[in-house]
Amino acid sequence: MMCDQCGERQATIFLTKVVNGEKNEMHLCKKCAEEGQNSFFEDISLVNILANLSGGTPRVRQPEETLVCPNCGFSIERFRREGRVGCEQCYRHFAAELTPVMRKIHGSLQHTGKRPGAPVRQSASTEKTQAAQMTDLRQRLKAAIKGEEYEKAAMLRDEIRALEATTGGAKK
Amino acid sequence: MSVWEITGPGNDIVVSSRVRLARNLAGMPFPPAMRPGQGDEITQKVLTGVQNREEFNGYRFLQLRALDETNRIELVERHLASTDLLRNPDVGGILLSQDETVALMINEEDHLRIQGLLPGLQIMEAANRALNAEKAVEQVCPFAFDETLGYLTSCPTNVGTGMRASVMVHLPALKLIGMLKPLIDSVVKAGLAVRGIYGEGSEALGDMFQVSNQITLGATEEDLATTIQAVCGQIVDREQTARDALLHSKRLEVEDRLYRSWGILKHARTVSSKEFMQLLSDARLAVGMKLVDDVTQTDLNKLMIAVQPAALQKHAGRELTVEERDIIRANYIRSALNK
Repeated sequence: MMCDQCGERQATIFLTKVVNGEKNEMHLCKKCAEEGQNSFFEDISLVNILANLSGGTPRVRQPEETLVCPNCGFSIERFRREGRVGCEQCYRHFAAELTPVMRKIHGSLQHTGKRPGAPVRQSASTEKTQAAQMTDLRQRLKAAIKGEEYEKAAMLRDEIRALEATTGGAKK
Repeated sequence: MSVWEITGPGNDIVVSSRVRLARNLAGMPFPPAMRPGQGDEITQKVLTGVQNREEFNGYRFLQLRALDETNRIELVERHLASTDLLRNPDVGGILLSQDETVALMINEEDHLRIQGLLPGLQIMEAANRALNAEKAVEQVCPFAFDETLGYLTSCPTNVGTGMRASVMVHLPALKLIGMLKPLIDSVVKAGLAVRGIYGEGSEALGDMFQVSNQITLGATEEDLATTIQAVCGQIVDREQTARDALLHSKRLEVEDRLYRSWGILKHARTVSSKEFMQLLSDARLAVGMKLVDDVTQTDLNKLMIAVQPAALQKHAGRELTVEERDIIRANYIRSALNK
């Protein structure tokens, strides 16, 4: 068998590379193997492993592969090359590619550890309380109008307006 | 005062315990996508945020661009900075507690890497220190967080807890009896990583290894720390058994080797960095086996940090050639051990 690299000398070294179950064989002569001048000797860095996990064996790129995060301008190509993303929104925009990668690395996709502390959680629960409060006020207003308690209804209306003002008045 | 001057539990076999938490400020691009000026903006946000908080009393800020190469590398030698941080010399910085057990690296691969570092086997306490600092920063700088994926990081390998817990263990006896490889294999099978002394890709100098968690998503901080603590506890037991076995079956050979190394350390006139780490390994083993009792493991830890290349140059106040360094290193070791 002749060397796959130079095609001149007898191949004496046989290499097998398996990436994601895809088998790839190379037959090299001693000289070419020593020089290592072929893509077979890629740097097996974490980045390349990540890229390979995401199915990024350097083939012909399809058009949709030039995905770019609208928030930070980071491209999916750059993730494949460097194994890094550019911002928190990349996780959403590149989800199709990142999700299987993360599943392979961590064996899980659900965070179970620490969550942002008191202030953040408080604001979330305050929001909930405000929404519940609003529903309650509206129901009471409805009932007041139905029962022709106009004085009470005016007070409830003012309360609703005040609450709308603190939540940014989004809900009318 | 530094971490390396404190005596820790299990110091004979465990050098140190470290926890790092990766965090990014919400709404800002991560370091790989930052535009000029944004690195300084991150630093300012963090420094302004923490300046009036009592959790950060006595902290000092070291800006990489204000330090020369020697001083930067010396921070890596003391395990206060990572080699990755030094790749961002224009924007990188460290916010450092007085006793140096807590260090916040700014603008490494993520906006923040919050580190708790302690001598000996005390990974829980190291985690607590890092988490306390993290909670305090979070009050003033909200972090990028996703309900499902947890804390978001530049590299998907760190999402979730963003936590990397690692313990530096010294395993000379397991190496001598040829049991190191099977042990490392079983630790890797348990889902942990084993690396050299300065982290990823670094050589296992002086029979020292870092054992750390691989996954960061799906387990809680406590689970991760508990696993590391338990696995390292087992590693310590095996190393201790190997030490006892060596003393029992090959006492003369072991004593001969360790006392020879001890003699070289105390009398040599030139010692390279690599040779020193091997001699230090023997010295640590000799102290652990109670063959040498005029120094402690803490003395040896301090010595290890003090004679690294950048530390020697910092001490000398100038750049030194390799030959000069080896001579000064030998002098330093002699004066430290022949008190």
